[in-house]
Amino acid sequence: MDKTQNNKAWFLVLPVLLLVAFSAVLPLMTVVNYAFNDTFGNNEFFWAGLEWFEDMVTSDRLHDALGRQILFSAIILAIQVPLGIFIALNMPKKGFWASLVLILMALPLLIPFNVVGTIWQIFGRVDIGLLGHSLAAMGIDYNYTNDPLDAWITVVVMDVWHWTSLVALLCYAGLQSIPQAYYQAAKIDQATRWSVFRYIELPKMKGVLLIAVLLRFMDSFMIYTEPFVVTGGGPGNSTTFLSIDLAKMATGQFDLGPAAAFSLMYFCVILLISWVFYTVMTNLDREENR
Amino acid sequence: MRIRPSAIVMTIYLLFLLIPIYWLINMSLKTNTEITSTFSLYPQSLTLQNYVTILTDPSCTWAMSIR
Repeated sequence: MDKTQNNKAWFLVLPVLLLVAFSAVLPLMTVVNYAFNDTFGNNEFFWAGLEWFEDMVTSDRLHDALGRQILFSAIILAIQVPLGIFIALNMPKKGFWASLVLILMALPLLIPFNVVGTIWQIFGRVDIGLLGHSLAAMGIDYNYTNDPLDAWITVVVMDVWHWTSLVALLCYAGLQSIPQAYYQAAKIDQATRWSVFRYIELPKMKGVLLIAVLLRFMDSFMIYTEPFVVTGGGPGNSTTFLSIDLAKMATGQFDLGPAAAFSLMYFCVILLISWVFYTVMTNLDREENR
Repeated sequence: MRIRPSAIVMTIYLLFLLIPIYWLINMSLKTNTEITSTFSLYPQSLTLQNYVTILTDPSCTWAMSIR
């Protein structure tokens, strides 16, 4: 006997659908609207087709910003992931010190992005900041408002300061879940410190490490607030990352069409990369459960 | 007593995390003239005036909506 189909439950999803339509789909469609139209105000729109997309794909300015963005994310991952693992391996395992270290390490993660920018903006200044002043006293020519390299170092160090703890805490959680028996077995086999790390700790951290890499990649790829507060994208355009460039284009120059086309492509790139990470992660899970 | 290498690593890392925060607190307890005129590792004339200002000045309280 066939079961009677009852689709009434779909109505229960309706409120959520409406909510998402208003909070996500409508704003996104506005951006899509701007991306395919040209406007001179008065709410009059003229069909522009793919003009803005062609403009953006061939724009040198966007290529430069994308290059800087990829370089920045690569540097951030190359520093934060190994450093985070290293810190996690050195963290105390239990007792009073473990709790204290955990609390202190979580501090930068709790500070609002704008305040992080302000902290480093002040900290790096040659006249009133401890870092800038100390470097100047040591005879190092450091000025993040004039020198592009110094600006980059400041922004990278700031991001390392802000987010390395996240990677470290995730790895720490992974390490804590390794049963003591594994280490005892390694000791019986006279395994070196390196092989304990390579064959016990690293495989057990693989899952959390992938999440850490995904989070750090996404966050650094979309970074806006902190470099905006510290350098404002300068000197020149040297620290103008994708988000900063997008904001300059949309709210600074009011080039809504190109900015909308730009943000749609930006969104697609991030979606694509997230999908790749997701696929890799689920495949890893399947391998482990086999 | 032998100091463990991991303790040294953690001390350096935690100093790196805490010194910028200390500097912000240090600044918040200094007067404006002290910040711009002298360079000192701790407030020479400790003041809470900055906190009074941020909590009572209308232009600041408006931003935080706590009037």
